[in-house]
Amino acid sequence: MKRRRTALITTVVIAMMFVATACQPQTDTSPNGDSGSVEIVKVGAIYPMTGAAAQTGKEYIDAIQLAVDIVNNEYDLDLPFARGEGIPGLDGAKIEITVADHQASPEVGLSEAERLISEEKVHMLMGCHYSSVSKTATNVAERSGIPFVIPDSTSKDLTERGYQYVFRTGPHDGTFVHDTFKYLDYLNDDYNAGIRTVAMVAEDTEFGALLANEVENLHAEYGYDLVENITYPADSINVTPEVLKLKAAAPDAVIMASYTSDAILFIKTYQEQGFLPKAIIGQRAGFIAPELFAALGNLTEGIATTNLWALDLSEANPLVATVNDLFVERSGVDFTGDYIRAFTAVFVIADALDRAGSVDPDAIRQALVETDIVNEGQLMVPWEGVKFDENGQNIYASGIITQAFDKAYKTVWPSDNKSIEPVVPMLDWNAR
Amino acid sequence: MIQQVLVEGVINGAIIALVAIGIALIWGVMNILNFAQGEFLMFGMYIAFFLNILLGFDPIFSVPICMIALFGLGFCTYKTMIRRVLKGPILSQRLLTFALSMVLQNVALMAFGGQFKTVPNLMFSGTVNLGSVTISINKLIPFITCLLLATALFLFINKTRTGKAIQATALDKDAAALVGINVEKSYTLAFALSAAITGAAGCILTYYYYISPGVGTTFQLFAFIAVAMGGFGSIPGALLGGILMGLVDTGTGVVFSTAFKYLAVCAAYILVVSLRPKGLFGR
Repeated sequence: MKRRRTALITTVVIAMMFVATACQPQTDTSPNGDSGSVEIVKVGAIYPMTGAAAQTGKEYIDAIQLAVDIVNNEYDLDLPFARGEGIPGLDGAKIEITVADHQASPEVGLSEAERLISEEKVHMLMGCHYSSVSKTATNVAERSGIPFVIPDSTSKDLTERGYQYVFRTGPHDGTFVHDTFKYLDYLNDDYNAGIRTVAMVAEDTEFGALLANEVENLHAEYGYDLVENITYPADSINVTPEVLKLKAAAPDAVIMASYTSDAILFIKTYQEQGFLPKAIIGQRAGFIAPELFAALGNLTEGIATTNLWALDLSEANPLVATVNDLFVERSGVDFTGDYIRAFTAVFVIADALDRAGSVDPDAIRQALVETDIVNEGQLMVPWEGVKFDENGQNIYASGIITQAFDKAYKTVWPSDNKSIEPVVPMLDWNAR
Repeated sequence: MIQQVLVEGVINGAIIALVAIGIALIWGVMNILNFAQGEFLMFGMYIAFFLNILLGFDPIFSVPICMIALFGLGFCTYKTMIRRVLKGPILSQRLLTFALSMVLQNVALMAFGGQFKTVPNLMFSGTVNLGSVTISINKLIPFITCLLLATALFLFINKTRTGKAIQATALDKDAAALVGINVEKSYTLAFALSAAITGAAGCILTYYYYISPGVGTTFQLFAFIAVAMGGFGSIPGALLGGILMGLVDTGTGVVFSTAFKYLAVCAAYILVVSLRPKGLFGR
């Protein structure tokens, strides 16, 4: 009897809650849209703040907050909006970051984006590190007509859905293949490398398949012959057949999309079989894993990989070191390719707000569409600038190429940013 | 090219064969499928790694140490777990070794970390040139060691009294006990020997392979296929099965496409067991 009464009461309470929600006066659910007297521009930042990637999330927010502080306050730096307080086009309005935790889950990312828009009334959104989360969160932004800036997620798909309110400042996975071929051109033109033929070696999940596909589509455009295109299972217990095929094809350069264990196995098998191309260019993943140098030692010498950012970019642009020091002060770690992209995105947002002169979402969107920033050393990334194509992808976003020198990576391309001359051809395996 | 493929195939198959021999021995004697065999391999690899970085031992000299250590681990595993579960239902026998494999993998993850490691100081390197075939010494040493160990085990089982006692136990446990063979001793010895031989395989594998807590899983899977191909419980069968797999893997990879190499291995397995359901050497 008692149980039935409890159930009844619970039902009534729930019903009342529903009625109460429905009866609530419907306040304006669209964000603050008037342009007259804005003092604060609210930007929601959706990152992993708990779970395995919590530390990454915290450092992302440190980077974003540093950029926001530079925009909001007076800093004696040659960065945009550093001298002067706030955003001039909005009468000195300041940016405020509202942090949301997506817990590395696309579902949580989606609901947090909804919450930021409907309850926190943010004017813009940014995030989310994981491509999978960016996918769902941007979907909410697109539906609600709120501009969303992705600094970091690299899945090509994110800017190929025809969305109007989604902009990616950083490079996507396809960019790195362009970088690879441009680097080969550079080796040929400036270092007489004589590279004409390439081989692609890719593990067989989505990561490798996508890159292999790009290489297959692009090699002819850059004038290289693709003499071998190898797909292999990443958990192979040996890669001898793969390397025997490569040896038979004898390409001048090998492009590799591999995870750590298979990258180790490949390089060791190259040595065993005496297969030495003029250049090996990895595609991040296993090639930027810290344990690669410990596991392979001197065998890494001369191996190159596409990359996003490196601290030695400060040798071409000393401001990079100054800004990095500010970041170290705040977070205790150096910038990485991830954090620097988030840092840069804040200045792109500030630039758009400045030109929009309003916090109306459509005005901000229009300003983002018209973004045309030329990098004259004021961006801490090695891109030519920022300009979005019709899908919202920054057409100037690019990566860098790093090459291993004495068990550490150094920037060798683009030539404006290099800190050391690239070495081509690679040193004989047994002469190390 | 063909000669090179044959040589590489046989060499790649030899390590699988050694793991397979360990599995076949345990199955042949006590009808237990040991899913933790891959973890014995992994422990052998870590022992070789630490002996190398701490004391500068070349893996080839660590082989006896690995064998003794793994013999001990196998002995303890048998005495504390396998012996008891042998009296239980068949499913709990299977699940026990599966659970043990999970435990050992995670222990390794906690103790050694998840990073990939390689043995840094190898005494021998370079290549041997035999006309049209080039063999890397990093692979030749494990190959020769595998053959020596397989031969030694084969001779032990067939030529010594203890080996014959193990065989007799495998044939008929009750009859063996009736004629005065210590069945318990045969079982313990078989299990510990199997662990030792797999540990040796792991140790010597570090000559060219990376080390990580999950490394045993893939080797073990292929070793199971090799055992089934060669005939459950047959040591020469497991050896042949392993080498056959290496040949199919490398041959398909080079002649057709590397994307199909494991498809071909599994197709070869299906072909063998449909023609000879008990495997090549099965009785």
